[in-house]
Amino acid sequence: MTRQGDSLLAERLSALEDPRDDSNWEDVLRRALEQPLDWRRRFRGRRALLIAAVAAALMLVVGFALAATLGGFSGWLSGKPGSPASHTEQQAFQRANARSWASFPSGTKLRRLIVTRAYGSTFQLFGFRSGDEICLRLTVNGANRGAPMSCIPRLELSDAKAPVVAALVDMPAGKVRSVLTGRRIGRRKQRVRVLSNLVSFGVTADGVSNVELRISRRNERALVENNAFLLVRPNAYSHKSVLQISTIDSAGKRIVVPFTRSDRGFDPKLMREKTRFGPTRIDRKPPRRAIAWLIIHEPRGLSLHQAGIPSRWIKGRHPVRFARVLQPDPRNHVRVVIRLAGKHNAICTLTITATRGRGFDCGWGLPDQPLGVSVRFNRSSEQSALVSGVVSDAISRIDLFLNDGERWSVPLKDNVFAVFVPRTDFPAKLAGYDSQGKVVAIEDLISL
Amino acid sequence: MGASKHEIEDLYRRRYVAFRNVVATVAGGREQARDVVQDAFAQALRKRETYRGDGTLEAWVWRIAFRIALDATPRDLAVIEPSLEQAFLEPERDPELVDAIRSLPPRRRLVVFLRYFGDLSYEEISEACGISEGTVAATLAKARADLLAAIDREGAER
Repeated sequence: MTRQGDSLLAERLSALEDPRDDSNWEDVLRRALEQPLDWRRRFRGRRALLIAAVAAALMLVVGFALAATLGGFSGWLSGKPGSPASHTEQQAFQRANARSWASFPSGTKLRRLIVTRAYGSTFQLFGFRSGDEICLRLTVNGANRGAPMSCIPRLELSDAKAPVVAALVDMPAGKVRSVLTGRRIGRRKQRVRVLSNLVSFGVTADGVSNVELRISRRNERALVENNAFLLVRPNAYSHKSVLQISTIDSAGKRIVVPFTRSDRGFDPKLMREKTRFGPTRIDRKPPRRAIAWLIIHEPRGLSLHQAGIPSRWIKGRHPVRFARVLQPDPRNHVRVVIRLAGKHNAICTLTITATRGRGFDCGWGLPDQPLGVSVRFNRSSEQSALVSGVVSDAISRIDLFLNDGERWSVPLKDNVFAVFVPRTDFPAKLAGYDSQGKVVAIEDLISL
Repeated sequence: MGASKHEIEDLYRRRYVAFRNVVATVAGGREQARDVVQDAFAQALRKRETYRGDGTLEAWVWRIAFRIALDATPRDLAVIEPSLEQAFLEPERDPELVDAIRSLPPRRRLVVFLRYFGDLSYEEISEACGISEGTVAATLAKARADLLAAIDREGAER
């Protein structure tokens, strides 16, 4: 058999192939969340039926019970919850989106989920799906500037351990007002300006009609509509935080929803905790490698000018030699600016998100350390943290190991990555692999 | 071991067309093949914790797809008989080759589809079909020899 013969066959066969791509990942997710009834039908005979029944029972035990009794998140994963936003609301969102340096695709359609009037203001919760993100946005009295917003990775919904996923908890919102702190400055009572309300919101699985948030010793019922929940309450200088979020399933059983309390302070114990999942040892010390395309100033992604990002954002002590704006994962909206500065070509990155502004990280030890990572969130009410970073050319793949045993393959492009991770899934671990699949870097990510 | 959702999604996005084209040869049609591939990946997602990692993830999903396509769990996946009528977009574009493939025994045909439509390595074909790598190599060599001989013959007759 000659190579020519082989390539001739390959060429002629490929001409007969059907190249049309009618793939639909949302449909796969929906089928995965459905009860495996059609799956059961595929087995022949009583024995097979018994196996399928046992498999279904096991699934109920390990978590699909929630999807079965309260429905999965198909409303969010493949449907369109709520109603279309009005033309004015959609236009306002598009204008705000166009101004953002980490914008969503221009055709992103806003859906109106919950509208309520409370404490003299109108609160409107909107939602939309974009790529791998499900985002919620709350406007108060129609104001779009500074509207609280949070995005949940789609993976988090398909992996959800409860039929409710909180996006923001105890987020200040609403009108600015002056409140007493209870202290005195000289003879005067001290006053500070705060936003008048605290809002908590998130998404719910199909069939969920009840979400309760415990504050002090009592439960407050949130509004639940269109696969979302919203609780608005007054803000005070020293407010009580939400202590528990729960829902009741169809059998009357209370399901506690995992979330991170907004009043969780610095805990040295958490700093020491590491996840038991993921590799514990490096297989191979990687060769010293930098990022070749960056060193030779290859124009990947966009320039700062093309992306409309002010160059002052990335200015440091040393002159910037080269900078590019990258989107490491086309299925989320995060942009990463990577720059080379100084005579030693120090690499710094700036991450930009639509939900939490921007953050600057510098001083990674490339090429000595092949993996530089940063974890951040801007407010304690945010339920997910942004894990982002940069890798040297020695790393061709990175995996994230969460504390619940899940393993995510982190999209990596042009040596940068950025992924939102639920804070309840920390501590976590990032492992970098070389082209042969050997572990060359491990970074433990502590709880935040 | 288990597989992550990202890995399965990545495999789906990269390899969907190949899966559908090969499965079309055993599922009886392109639409049926699409349905089978969607179900196979959904099942892979649900059962991802059971993936032991002793073969490639892709071969594991191929096995699931074949099982669903056959509406059963056969012990020997090599008994699959690919249906040629559903395998090609426009068979009339290369009737010589289509006739040559039609004359191949079923196992050889399937290995050809997996190799050229599915772009699988010998190792992956061996894992997907439950046959040894040596058998894959021998089957494929025979299939290629038969196909090239048939094409040459038809070319000479013209």
